[in-house]
Amino acid sequence: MRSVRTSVGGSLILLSTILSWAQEVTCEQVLNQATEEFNSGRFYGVPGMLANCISDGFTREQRQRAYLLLTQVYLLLDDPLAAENSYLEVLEANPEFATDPAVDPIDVVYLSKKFTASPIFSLYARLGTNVSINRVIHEILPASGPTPIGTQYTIKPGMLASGGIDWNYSEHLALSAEIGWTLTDYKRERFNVFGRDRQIFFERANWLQLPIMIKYSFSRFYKSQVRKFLPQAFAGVSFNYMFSSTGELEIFNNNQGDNGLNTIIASSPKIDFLPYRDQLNTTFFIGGAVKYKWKLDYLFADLRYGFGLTNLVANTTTFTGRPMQEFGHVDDYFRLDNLSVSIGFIKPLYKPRRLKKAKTRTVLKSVKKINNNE
Amino acid sequence: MSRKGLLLNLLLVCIWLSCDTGGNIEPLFKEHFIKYYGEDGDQEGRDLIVNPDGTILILGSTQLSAQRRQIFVVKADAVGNIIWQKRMGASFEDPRDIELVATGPFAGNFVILTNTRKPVGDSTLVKLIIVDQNGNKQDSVEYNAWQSQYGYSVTTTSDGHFIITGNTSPEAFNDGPMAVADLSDLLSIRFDGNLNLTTWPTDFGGEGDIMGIKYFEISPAEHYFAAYTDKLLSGELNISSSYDYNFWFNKVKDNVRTDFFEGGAATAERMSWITSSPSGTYLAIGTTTNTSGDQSILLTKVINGFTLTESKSFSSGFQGVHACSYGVNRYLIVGNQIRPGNTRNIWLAKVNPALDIEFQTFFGGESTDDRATAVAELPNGDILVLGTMNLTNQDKIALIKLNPQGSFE
Repeated sequence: MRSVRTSVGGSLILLSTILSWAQEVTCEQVLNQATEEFNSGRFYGVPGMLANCISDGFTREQRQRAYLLLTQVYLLLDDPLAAENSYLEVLEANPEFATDPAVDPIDVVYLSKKFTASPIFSLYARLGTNVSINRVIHEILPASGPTPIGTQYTIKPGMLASGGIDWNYSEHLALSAEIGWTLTDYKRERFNVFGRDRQIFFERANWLQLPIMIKYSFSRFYKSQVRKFLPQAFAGVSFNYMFSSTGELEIFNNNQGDNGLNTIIASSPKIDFLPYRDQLNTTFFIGGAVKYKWKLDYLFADLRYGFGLTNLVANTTTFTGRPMQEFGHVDDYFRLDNLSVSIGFIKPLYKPRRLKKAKTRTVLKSVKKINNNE
Repeated sequence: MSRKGLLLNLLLVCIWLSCDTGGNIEPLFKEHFIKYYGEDGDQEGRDLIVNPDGTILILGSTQLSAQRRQIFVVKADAVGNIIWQKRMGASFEDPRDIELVATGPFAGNFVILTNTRKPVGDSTLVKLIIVDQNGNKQDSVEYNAWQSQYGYSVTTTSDGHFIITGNTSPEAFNDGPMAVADLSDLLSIRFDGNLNLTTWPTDFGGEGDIMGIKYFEISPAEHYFAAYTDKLLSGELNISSSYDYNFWFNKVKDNVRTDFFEGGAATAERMSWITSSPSGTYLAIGTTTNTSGDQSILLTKVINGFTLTESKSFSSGFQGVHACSYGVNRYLIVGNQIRPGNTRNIWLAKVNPALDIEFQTFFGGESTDDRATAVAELPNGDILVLGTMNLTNQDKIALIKLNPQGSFE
């Protein structure tokens, strides 16, 4: 009984596969026959031949070819409205389709210049790492002594994740807005405190960031023929909100005794540093990205450097609270720069549409160039 | 310049203008601050004076081992930066007070009062050291007439003399406030401008435990002593209770001594400091301890002529340490707030003529022992507080400079 069920099931799957293959072959044949009809000058029957497969049966690539054929048909039948609608369908099937003056009929090329499918908006997301660079505005020392106190800031890796939207003003220029989370981390060491002591401070902060930027996309790398990788440059301003910050201190109390250097180490618990921070901060940033074309979308790698514009320290809290009064920690006034590297994914929201102003000026030049080459 | 270039330049200028730099960020930290001073080991703040040029002399004590204590002096500028710091004196020499010398051969220098532990028991001798403004010792003198003597304060007189106030303990060898059973007298010794001992009552007070706090010179024929003692009002000693200490105000005029006591019958009042104001009033500050061991601050206001005008005790959990007059008829007071675990925080308050608190503020860690030492008013109304703060694993001298409202802003 079981073997009977198995064989029936297998037969059904096989039948389904054959039918599907048969239909595909049929629509390809239909498309070929329609093309032959067109080439024979019999234009009127072409739309009817393609109708069934257009409604259900063509692959995306076949739909592109079919509608391109229909565009030519309608142009020859002097039905510009239908031709335009057909060309829009071409762009629906393949938003990145572009006519080639060397291959496509000149009237189709002209018609194509009235349309575009370039995305007005693109959505993207990125994930990466960053380091923060402290720019000291005023050095503030907790102690004073004959031996000058030394300070050293060390970068530590952080993380970031963000999503954004591009408003594509033109093929090259876009205005973008992002919303993102960034974790920043750094270490500060002070030496020669009270002559011989060392203080180590770690701060880890979480930020909500709202960057706004202008992006310029290049068509290719300089003089390169490869269009798979597209460079991009951008600059903008980011409004940042610090929503958490914790600091930890390690104090090495070094005392020279009769038996050499004696060190007493003390550590602080995690201290909430938000009360000591100006939570709203602004950054000016510049950067570049390389986009890699992946089907109709893009993968990208992004490198950007943000110049912190505002003092991060709430300057009325410098000497208040536990950090200073329990551990002898005092913040310098500082800005926080940020260098980040990330990778991401861009989803262009293609929108085939008629242009307000057709770009037909370049067509004639292209044709002349082709003729000269021939 | 093209329109695009102009816009770009304008944008860059806007960004640059919105950038916080050393030029446009007000360095609030320079005006009002906390600065720590110290070196290896633990350091405690003991007293401070402000020079007429605004520089600050901080007297501290440094402890390198359990028994080794030395004088530690810091001269800082008005923003707390060190001009020099020096360790002075012998081992086991504990500084207590510092005063500017206004007249006499050492005018312009400062005098340091110390108590040096003697080899026998824990008795001490008293020492005065004259130091110039560069930290160089000019002269010194010791006083060691008793088995033990303890100097609490030094006062410079109008004729350039130095008067040390403290206590003597001919029968015991304590170096601080005595227990009831340890009899002591009020110590009062006088050195002339060249540090020669002059004829002057060296001790008085009769039986009982006495600690002299401060001497005030009113005129050649009139002077006052402030002290605390366990003498009863009748002058007899009650050795059965350790809660009989009271503030003791002594007035000597035309060689006639009059006195009065201030304090509760069943509480111990120990004076820490007394300050005079330009209006001729004096404010004594100390700690009153009840039989449960609870401590609170006692302020006693005394007018010229050393008669009591007002006395006020604050809520429990505080120790009174030091006071100074502030403006006209107001006072700054510092003390210690006792916290759970018997740690302390520094407490600063300003009080009005009725001794009501106008503002109060606290400094210190959540679990560290931080103690107030002294308070001073600067000519512009700013406030200086000296204390000792425990930075988790070490004690350091802390200088706190505040605005007249008692904050850093």
